[in-house]
Amino acid sequence: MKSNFLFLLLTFYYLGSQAQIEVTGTIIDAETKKNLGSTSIVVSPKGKSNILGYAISDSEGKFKIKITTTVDSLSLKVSSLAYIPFKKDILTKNQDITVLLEPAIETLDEIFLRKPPIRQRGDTLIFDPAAFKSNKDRSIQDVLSKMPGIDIDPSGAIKYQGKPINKFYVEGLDLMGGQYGMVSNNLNADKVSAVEILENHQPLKVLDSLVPSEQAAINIKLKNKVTVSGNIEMGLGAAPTLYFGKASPMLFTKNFQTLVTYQANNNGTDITQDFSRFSYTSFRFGRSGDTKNDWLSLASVNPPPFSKKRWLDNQAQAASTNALVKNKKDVEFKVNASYINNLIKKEGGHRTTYFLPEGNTTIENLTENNTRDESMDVSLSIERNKNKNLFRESLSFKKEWDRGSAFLTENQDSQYQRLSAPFTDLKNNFEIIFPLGKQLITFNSNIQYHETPQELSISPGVFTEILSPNQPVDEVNQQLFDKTFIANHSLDFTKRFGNFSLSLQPGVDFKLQNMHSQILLDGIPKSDPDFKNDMKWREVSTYARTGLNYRTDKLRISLRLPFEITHYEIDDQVTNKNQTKNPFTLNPSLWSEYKFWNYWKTNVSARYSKNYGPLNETYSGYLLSYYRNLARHNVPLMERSSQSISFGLEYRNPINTWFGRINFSYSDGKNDQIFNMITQPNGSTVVEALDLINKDNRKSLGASASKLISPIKTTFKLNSNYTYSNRDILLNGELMKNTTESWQNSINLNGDFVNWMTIEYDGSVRLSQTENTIQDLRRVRNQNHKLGLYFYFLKHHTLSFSGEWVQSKLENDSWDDFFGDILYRFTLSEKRKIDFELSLINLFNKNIYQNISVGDYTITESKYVLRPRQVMAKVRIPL
Amino acid sequence: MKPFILSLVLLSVVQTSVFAQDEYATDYKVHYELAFHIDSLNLDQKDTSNLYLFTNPEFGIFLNQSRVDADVRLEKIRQRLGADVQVKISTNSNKSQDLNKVVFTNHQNGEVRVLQNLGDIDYIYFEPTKMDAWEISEETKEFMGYSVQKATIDFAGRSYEAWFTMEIPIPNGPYVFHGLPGLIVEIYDTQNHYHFTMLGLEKLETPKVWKFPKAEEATKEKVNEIQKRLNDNALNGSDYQYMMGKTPGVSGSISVSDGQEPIMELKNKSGQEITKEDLKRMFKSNLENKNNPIELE
Repeated sequence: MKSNFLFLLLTFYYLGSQAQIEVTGTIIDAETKKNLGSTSIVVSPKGKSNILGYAISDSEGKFKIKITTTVDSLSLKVSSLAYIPFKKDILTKNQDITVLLEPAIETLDEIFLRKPPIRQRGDTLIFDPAAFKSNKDRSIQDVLSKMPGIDIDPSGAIKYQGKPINKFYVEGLDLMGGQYGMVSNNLNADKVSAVEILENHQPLKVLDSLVPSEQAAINIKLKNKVTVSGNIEMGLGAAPTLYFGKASPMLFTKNFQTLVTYQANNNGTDITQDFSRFSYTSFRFGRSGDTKNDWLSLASVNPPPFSKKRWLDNQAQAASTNALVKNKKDVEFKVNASYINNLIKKEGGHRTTYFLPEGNTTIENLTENNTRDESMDVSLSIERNKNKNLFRESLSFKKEWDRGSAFLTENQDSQYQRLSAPFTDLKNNFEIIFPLGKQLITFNSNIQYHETPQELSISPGVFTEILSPNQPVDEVNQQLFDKTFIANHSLDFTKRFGNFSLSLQPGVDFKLQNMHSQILLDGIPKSDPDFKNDMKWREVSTYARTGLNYRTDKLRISLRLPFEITHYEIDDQVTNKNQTKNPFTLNPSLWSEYKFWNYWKTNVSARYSKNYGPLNETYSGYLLSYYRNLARHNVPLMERSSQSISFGLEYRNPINTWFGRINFSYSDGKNDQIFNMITQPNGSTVVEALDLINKDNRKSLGASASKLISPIKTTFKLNSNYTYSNRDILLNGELMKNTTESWQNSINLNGDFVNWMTIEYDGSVRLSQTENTIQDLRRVRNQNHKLGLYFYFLKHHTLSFSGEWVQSKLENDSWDDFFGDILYRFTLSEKRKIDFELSLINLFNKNIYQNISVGDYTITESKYVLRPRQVMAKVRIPL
Repeated sequence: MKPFILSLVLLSVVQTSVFAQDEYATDYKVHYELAFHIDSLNLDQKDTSNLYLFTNPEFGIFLNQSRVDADVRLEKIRQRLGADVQVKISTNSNKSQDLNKVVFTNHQNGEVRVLQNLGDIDYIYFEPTKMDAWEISEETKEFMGYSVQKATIDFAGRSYEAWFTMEIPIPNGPYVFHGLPGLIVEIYDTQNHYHFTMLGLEKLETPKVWKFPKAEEATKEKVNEIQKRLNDNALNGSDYQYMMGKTPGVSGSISVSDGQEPIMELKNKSGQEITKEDLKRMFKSNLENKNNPIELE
């Protein structure tokens, strides 16, 4: 025994200051005095958090920890569920401790109900809105704009990792199609249980593993099986009389969804945010639906590059009814109808300097522009979208009664312009996909007809040297009628071989467009055939498009080889000239995506294409499309060949909530013709096309990163984009290279740093420069910073101060402006959130804005009339 | 000798205090997701499974999703068809045998019992390896808002890295892993063949009460032998019901009437009909491919 002891002593001496001790003890409930088992006991060096030893107490509440350490003071921590954690400093020696644990008074539910802000389940990311919602947020759009990886354009379009979403579902059903703004702006965030991002979403279920998709879709999950949402809002204000009204009730159940809305305002709220149709699905069959050609336009002013609410002078009214019913056989019937009547007034002035080889010209003008966009849209559709087959039939009708007027004063002369551009469009799309043996067969038919009679009147007359050299003219009228008929039909045969799938798509696309135009001088049509048009443009494309797809969990590759013969015919009934061309094209494209290391994705795509036209850019008679533009395009069919390649790298980690991407793309092209703009001394241009090969190329690099910092409920987003482009331009007969470089950076910070305040910050800096042989390097820098502070010192009361600072800098000159707003909100009832608001916009009453923009060979300094200071009282009742 | 007798005494104490009870109530539910490669030769194929840990400070029960719902469904069926109808709900996942185990962990003495169903018989055995060799490192990181610390251990032929948080003082984790001074939120082996991640944690409004099922006492080795024997028998004989339950992607029905040949309608993953011989072939190749269970030794 003695020798053992001596040995032990020597050992201790030898090991120097390293001590081996044993800490034992008992854990007891301070109130009930019962022994507590299963508690965690941890010993660390005093002041540090690394663990030297630990134990779990047994059923008698007893524990024993052996520690070997050089430190002389230690810290003992005991924790157990439903008790307040216990901490005690102890010395490094053998000891027995009795620990009394106090029961925790406040519920520990907070720790346990912490749901992760972002979860991943296969290809789906699930966001918990509660992790992103601030006190002041109301609609699900407010919350979406805070989620990392998601960006919302100023127009209201939603993007994920830089690409627009292709579907916006609510509980798996798509009620609004491209008009999803109406749902996301008015659906109460409190009714949403989760926001799902479905990556690489293929909306047609039957094609899910066959046709890859680059885009993601959003699916909103609701807390209840039957959800009623939307708001009723009303407001009145002054300077001058302002009004705002919006009712947007919506109902979502498992098999029935409906949304009805009526809106009217003149306080600068952009009604198109709810009514815009965001185009989304990338078309499978090559040619997408045709849109309206705007041949003629009024003189206008460019609005300032900041929030619409500061300059939008509007009087708007709009209504919409939508319903979707799904029956027992999973057939969805959908009806959508909307009407908009939006009057927008713009007032501003320009001072434009044209840099020409023979010297500079300056023109100064002031413009008042009134445009009324009035349109009605009705569409019906029946769809059955199953895993094994698809049936879809949709019919839509659209009518527009767009019209406007402009009043200009230019260098002392005044001018009055009027434009009317009504539009009627009827479209039918039918698609069916079904399996036949081991193949998948698709039939798709797209038939469309539209017509638009357009007229532009200008008084007093312009281009009189060309139009009426001997007689003065009071009014010049350009009349035009354009009608188009499209019939696209195709079949698709797709067969799967293991991880590969092969598809063959034969089809015929037919397009016939007719345009006739004439110019009237004081009501009398000008008989000179040089000023008349009667064009027939026909495009018939017969094709066999082939595709090869390869797909595994990690890798997707898609290769497309479309073999196409197109018959182009330009029939000029005025000059009796006819041009036809029957080129054969093979425009290959490749796309590939690879997933690696759990959270990374990389993609590459390459494309070569040879295109002709567009046909409707060839017309022999002069067309007065704009008061400064009298042009004829008496040219052969334009051929353009281009190639592009792009790379992307994406990172998204739901666990640490980092999202990031970097994209690089390069493209170049060659055209066999170039437009020659002959500029007159008075600044107007006459355009002709010359047979001269010209090239262009473009490189761009973009990157973005975003993350949620949970403890302070703050999201930050960084975005940067650099573009370099180079193209040949023709100026007064001389071909020269024009280079443009631009670099755009933006930073966005949004969050509750403390629970009585929310901060929203949006900053962007944009640098651009243009260079060509006439114009030396011109650099412009624009900056825009918005800061909003929201305070909730008292329950039910919100006070907010926001400011916007804008700056434009050209070389040594700079303009800047600062705007301020105040908002006070009283919220009745925490649960229902009925808001009463008093807002003061444009506190400092800034009513004019100035800006500079650099074109290819021009510099324009513009002024714009803004909305003056306004006060508004508003009430919002959520449903 | 002495330590052996002591442990026997402890065992019986444990038996009477915890495992001899018929019912246990658990207050907390932890949701784990397991991502695993069942075939070490085909690392492109990854399977996932949802697993739950129902736990209290004193003990925890770890099992897969379908087993959680099985009791409820069984009750409903019994109510509809009558209590004397023979009903068997297959709660066995055919992705991996490991997912069918139910693990009972006693935090106070570190004992782990594993329940496994083989050939329709429930077996229960004590896990012989003690989880007391954890090495806690100083590395920390953030996980879902919790501050977590790293610990490592070797178990059954694999080296594991675990992340635990002392903010949740429950000394448990997924599968048989327990004994750290906090809940294990993430654990994976160094080759990343088995990766458990906590997805959510909640306090149950009403505690879930578990009944300890009647099971045959066995040892781990005996259970492994039984498993092997069953697989061999199935291959050599014609226990199609057994094979169907163990082959992923196969669905269908087998109706058995007294004294008659079973009538089988079998379909594969794509909905096509397959024969008994196809099933046997698929079962065999599936067995061969499942060469990467969680416990290698």
